[in-house]
Amino acid sequence: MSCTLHYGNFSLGHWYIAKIMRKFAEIVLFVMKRLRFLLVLFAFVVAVGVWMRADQFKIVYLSTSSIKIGDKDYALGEVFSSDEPIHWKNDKQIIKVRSMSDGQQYILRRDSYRASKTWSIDDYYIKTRPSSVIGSTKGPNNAAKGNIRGNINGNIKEKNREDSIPPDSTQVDKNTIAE
Amino acid sequence: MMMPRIWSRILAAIKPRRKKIAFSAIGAVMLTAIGYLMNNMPVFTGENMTTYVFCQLIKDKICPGKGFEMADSVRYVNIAYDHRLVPYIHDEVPVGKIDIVDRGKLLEFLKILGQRNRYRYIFLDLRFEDGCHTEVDSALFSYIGALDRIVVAKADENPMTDYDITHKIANARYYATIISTNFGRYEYIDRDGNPYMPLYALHELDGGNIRRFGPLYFDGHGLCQSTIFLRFSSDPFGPHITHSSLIELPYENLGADIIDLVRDSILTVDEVAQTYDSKYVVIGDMVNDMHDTYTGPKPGPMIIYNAYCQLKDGDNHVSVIQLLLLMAVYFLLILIIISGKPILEHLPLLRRVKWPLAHFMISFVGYSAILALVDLICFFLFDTIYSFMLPALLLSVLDQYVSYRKYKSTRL
Repeated sequence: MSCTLHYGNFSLGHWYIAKIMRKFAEIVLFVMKRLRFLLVLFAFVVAVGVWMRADQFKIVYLSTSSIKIGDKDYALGEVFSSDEPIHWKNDKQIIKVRSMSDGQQYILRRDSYRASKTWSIDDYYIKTRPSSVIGSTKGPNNAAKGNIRGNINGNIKEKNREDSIPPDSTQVDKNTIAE
Repeated sequence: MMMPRIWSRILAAIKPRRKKIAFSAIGAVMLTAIGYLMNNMPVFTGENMTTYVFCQLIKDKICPGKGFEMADSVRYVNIAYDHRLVPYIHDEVPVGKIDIVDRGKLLEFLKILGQRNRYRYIFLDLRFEDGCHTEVDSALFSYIGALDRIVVAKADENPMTDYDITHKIANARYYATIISTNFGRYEYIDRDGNPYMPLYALHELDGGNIRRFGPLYFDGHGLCQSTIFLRFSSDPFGPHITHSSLIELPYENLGADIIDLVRDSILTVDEVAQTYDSKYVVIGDMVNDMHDTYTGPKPGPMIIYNAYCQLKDGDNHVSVIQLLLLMAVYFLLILIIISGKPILEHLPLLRRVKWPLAHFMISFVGYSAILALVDLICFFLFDTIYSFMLPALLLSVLDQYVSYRKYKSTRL
């Protein structure tokens, strides 16, 4: 834009730039004032999203009579949420679960869960299935699935795990091994 | 005024060379036709298979991505662990017992799918052969006969003739050759015009078909091929987690994961059935029915589904632009050869070689390299390749003949 209007050394172009800068400063000030509120709102939205996304799984095979997931003992045929921590009773315990959303079946064992410090099915995706690896070699749909579980769920659950779950959940269950 | 002058100049330039140009044009058309015909013959899968694999490897390195877009729209059901012993009758005489698929469980599963009837298509890669009869045969085959959107693999020997499911049966074999002993090209239609399972499914779902007119094949879009190379990922069932602590099962076992759970009331019929909504259901032996492919052993049912996906994607279509590109390359090569200045004569190595056989071999390697490069370019642009060995051989023979004539004329 060529500017021919001059007020001393201050051209029309400079005036526009100053106006834009002022607007930008106003926006920054607005955000700073309400930063806490916006952060809380953002966290709430993410938490609701994660809660709504948590997958439901049905236990279709259990090597023991029951398994403690979260605060409850689950038996064959019962449904649990994928964000609930699994309390393994021993190293040989195996469960087979079926996703209630897409019917996909998974076999879960304890050993590597402990090694990778994972607690729930959702956590497993965060620790052992980086989304970058999935995206580069695998199909697009599953890569998307990995991203959802790896990124959104992972960040929220990280804090919860540190706060609420003992460092080694096996210590809790050692006295309750019945099988 | 300008155009007629250009035309007259072109015609003036062509006129003294019209015989050579006509010969080159005819030769180019013939070589292109040979390439197309060879691509329709599943037995010619040797060198061009290696070329295909290399081209795919290079393309995947440069622009990765095209893989199994439809991996999430299919569910595999394994019957390998659901067998039972039944009396076997050979030549109308009982000879003992053999293990066959538990047809009772299969019938139960098909009924679960059929009641809801929201699956997309069923590929039943099981061969119901004569001589084994069970108490559920009548119910099973009449149910299959009445079921919508299903195709059953045809048994090569002793086809099932007692029950009328012939209208649901399609071919399901493949070729291995002395050049290529592993799985090579997948054929969609046999010489008698009978469809294979993927083409049968495409015809039922989308009305697509392949028709043969002499050596040429056409589908709804024009000229096509009756056989193609299949794309395979290194993972037999596409993306799945296989970690020591969490295994994402790539397939469901008919008994342990479906029927037994329904019988034990762990899963309801609706829970099972709704997971197959809008999905392709591929039923077959995922453990023992393995075929050697260029990325390792793959289950036969998965190969059939893969072939269907590629047929649906139109990977068998022949690109006219690709044919014209090939013709142009052949035309130029033949024209250069018969003009007495073969392109490979510029190589110092070839000029020094006086032994005719060595000269022939080097020129053959040279033409093969040129055509392989053209193949690579074609693969990037059109996702398909044409065999270059025979055209390279013919070009080398022509090159040798022209050199011989030239040598003879200089001696005289």
